[in-house]
Amino acid sequence: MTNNKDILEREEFRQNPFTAPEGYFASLEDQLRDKVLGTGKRPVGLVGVLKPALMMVCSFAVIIGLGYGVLSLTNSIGSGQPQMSAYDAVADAVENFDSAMFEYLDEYDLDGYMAQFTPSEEDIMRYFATSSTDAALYDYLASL
Amino acid sequence: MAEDKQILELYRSGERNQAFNLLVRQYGEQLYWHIRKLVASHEDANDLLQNTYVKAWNALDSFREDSKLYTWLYRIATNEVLTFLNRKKIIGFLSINSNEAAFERRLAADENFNGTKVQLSLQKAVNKLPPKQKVVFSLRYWEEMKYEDMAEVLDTSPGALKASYHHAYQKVVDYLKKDLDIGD
Repeated sequence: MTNNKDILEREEFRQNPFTAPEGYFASLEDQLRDKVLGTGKRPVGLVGVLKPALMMVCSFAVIIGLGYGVLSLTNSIGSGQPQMSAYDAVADAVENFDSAMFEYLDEYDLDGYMAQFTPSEEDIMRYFATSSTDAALYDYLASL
Repeated sequence: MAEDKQILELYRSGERNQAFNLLVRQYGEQLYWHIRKLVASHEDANDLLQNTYVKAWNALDSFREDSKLYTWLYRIATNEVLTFLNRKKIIGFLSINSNEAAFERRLAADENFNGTKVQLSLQKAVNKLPPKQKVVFSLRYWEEMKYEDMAEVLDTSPGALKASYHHAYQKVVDYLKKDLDIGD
């Protein structure tokens, strides 16, 4: 008669039925180093801050230009009046939009706006004091 | 342990890369298997191991050597696993599919599982345990960790752990008896 309590004493149960993919442990050190030592937050540059805003401006310019072009084409159908070509309409719309945008940017206090994203010396010191990696410091210094 | 002392000395003297390499060489594989036996899937084990090292490395400054480095690492890894298992339990509770059937299907399809029928049955039995009991069973049964070390890992008394292991062991035996159709 088998004692059910002893069933777990069988050697088969103690063996590890799992395997790791081939070469996993050989590359573990590199993989973990990349993940762990590469986790420091990099300072965001000026391009990084402006990129979303610039992309939005470009998208609006394209949408307005296309809309204006379509409207111009539609209005010219069936009318005897000489109309601007769709190409000219789009070009004018983009040009007008650009000049309006530049005027807006001239009036807008861009430096003041950007100042809120620029870290102070104290912020930088606090960042490196709490950052656990030298790699982050090297990356930052290299980016200067 | 001499290696633990070396790791900490290297870390504190600014030789961070060397300290990190030694930390991985010394405990990476051991921690991987600890996690893997609890979550079964290699991908999940790999993710949780990475999280463990990120957390351990960021907290190494605050390690005060009140405990052994290895129990401290096990504690971080175990907390990662418990969070993962509890989240999975909630998702499983909300799912219409049976947890047990899904676990069995996943293991059967896993190319990194080469278990026999009885080993599969044991995995199913352990999978049915509540997360913390599962950890207690795994640490004691497979890793043969001392209760004193387990107490450091799980922040519980050795007496409570002995009782928990006894309950888990009994549940596993009962399940195996039924699943493998073993009579008295």
